[in-house]
Amino acid sequence: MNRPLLSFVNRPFIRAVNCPCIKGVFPVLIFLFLSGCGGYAATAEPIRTALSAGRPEKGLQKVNEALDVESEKEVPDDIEEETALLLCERGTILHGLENFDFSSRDYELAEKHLELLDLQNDTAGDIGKWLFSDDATVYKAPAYEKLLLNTMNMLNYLARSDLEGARVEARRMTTIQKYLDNEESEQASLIGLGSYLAGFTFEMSGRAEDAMRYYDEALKYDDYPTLYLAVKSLADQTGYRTKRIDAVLKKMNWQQAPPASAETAPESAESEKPAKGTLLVISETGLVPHKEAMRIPIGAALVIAAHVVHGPGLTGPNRSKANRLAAKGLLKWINFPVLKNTRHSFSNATVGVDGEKIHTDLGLNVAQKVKQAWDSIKGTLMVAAIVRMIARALIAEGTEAAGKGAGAGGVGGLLMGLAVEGALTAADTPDTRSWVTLPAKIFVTRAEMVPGEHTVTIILSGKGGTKTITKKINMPAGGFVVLPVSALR
Amino acid sequence: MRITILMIIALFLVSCGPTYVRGSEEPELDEYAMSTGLDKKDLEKLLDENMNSMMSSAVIAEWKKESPPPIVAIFPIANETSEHISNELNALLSDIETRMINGGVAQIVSREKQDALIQEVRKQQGGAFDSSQGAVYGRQLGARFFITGKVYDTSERTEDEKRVQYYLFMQIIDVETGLVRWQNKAELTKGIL
Repeated sequence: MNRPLLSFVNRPFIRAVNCPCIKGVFPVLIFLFLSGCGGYAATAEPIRTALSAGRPEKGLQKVNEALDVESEKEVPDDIEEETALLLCERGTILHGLENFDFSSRDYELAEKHLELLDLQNDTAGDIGKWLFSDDATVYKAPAYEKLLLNTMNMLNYLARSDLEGARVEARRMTTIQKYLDNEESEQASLIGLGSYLAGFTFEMSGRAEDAMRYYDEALKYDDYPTLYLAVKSLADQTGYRTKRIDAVLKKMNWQQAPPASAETAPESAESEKPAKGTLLVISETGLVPHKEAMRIPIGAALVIAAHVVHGPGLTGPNRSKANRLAAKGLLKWINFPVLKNTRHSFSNATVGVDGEKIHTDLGLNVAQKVKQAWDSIKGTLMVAAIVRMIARALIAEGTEAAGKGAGAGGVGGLLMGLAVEGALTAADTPDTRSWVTLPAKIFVTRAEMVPGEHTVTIILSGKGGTKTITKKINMPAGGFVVLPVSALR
Repeated sequence: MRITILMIIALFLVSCGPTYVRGSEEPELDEYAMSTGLDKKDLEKLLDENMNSMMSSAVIAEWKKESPPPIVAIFPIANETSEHISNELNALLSDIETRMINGGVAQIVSREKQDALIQEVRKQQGGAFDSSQGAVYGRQLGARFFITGKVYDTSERTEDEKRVQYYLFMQIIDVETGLVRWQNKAELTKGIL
């Protein structure tokens, strides 16, 4: 039953491979087939691996090498699109190493250049996407990356008690949110943790209404019980209300305070106590899924392309051509990025203050955001990849016919066609660009406490066991301390 | 022939790299925008507009009649924008100070003295400097008036454009009464098209 195929492989095929005109082509074909899929995944892989192994300093060294700089004190001379992403990676590693100044510098530089790329009219890239490779386009950061740049940088400023800088980041986030709300969807524009931190920034700045507006936005994204007390306290200072705020106030049995007067508000012992301070612990665990290049058989590719969320799907004629190629079978692969979970040790965080456990909320499931964003675009990207594959197959058929005409024989022509198609396939670099050092999950813990020294204990747990981190803080009266704790593994 | 080609290639490569320049060598250097933030040219425009208005105001006319001139404190200009321009705004404070001193219309409280107070206030208020409390701080510094301001912006973007409209408000406030004695707004727009 398999005889015709076997005879094809065993005799004419080997004869053709030994033919001097074809001999050199075959190893090149194999090499190209195996090696042509580096892209950003290859650049980011050593950085990611170092972080997964719990070695952030090594990760920093690798990202500096990729940026072609001696140390984190330097910024690269030329900012290209991959450089901007690498600055995001370095900013996150520096944030994890509590070097918040340099982290802010990198985030701000990266944001400036990602913004320019985002605003760029990329006609050549758009055409290249349908002809050559997904990588041909300039990098347009997905919504969650844009919003997280401001969120992470807001955290950098809050960690340094710089409310002015944090307010700037909150406003930048709002500008992007408005844009995303108009251009994409309300869902894309919401980022619970970003709104939570923006609310905290304005609350600590004494701007109750702005704070309440941001907290309402956070509650629209998810329920954060750690916000209830803050919302209750702000309700005494502002009349800003929504159904979500009202629901929280109902849960907290909030009642409008009677107007204060000299007669009804005698000096109490309570008012003589120093004002409490607010602690915010932000625990970051794990690493987000990353993209890796894979060769997907045409049959599986057609299934992915059938689920287009945005944009046009595969046209009827192209679907027929793709099905015809799938039926032919040989070397009809799609170079395509797939989302892979990154190995990490810790996935949960609990926080205690002075030995007492404090309630912790999941501030943001970043890994889930990454998956949702990928699921919403992968069908569209696959359609472009299939169109490119059809173009390659047509070129290969032309080469095969030309090879036969030039006297290379049937098998020789076929191999020449395969070689050309293999080279084009290898040159089709899947777009594996994404911000890979983001934490998979970010937890948020909030506590009010008396001024003075306190011990904060953060317990990280997951597949890698448990790890306890202890921090000493000095809470100012009526002030705040923001403590980002990162375990990027 | 080969050497000539190599020299041409070398010259081509050398001319590709960035070069350090002085503003005097590149007269256009200060002219074009490099970001949507505020640069020297923007700050000069905003400040000139406000200072011209201030210098022709009734309150400055009163000060000019006084001998010695009144003691004035200059407080930080609050950054209410979506750009990190605190350093630029601090530079603006020095410019205001210089113009006031050189104009001979006021005695200015030393920046070091008021910086210490502002830092103390910032610490007490968890990082926030509340300029509405300026009268209290002004009294502590022995000033009769204080000059302050705020920069706001309206930042918007579309798929392929971004626009930031800046507004610099400046005020002179009477420490005793808390009354605003002069106020002006200057504005400019920057963008990416």
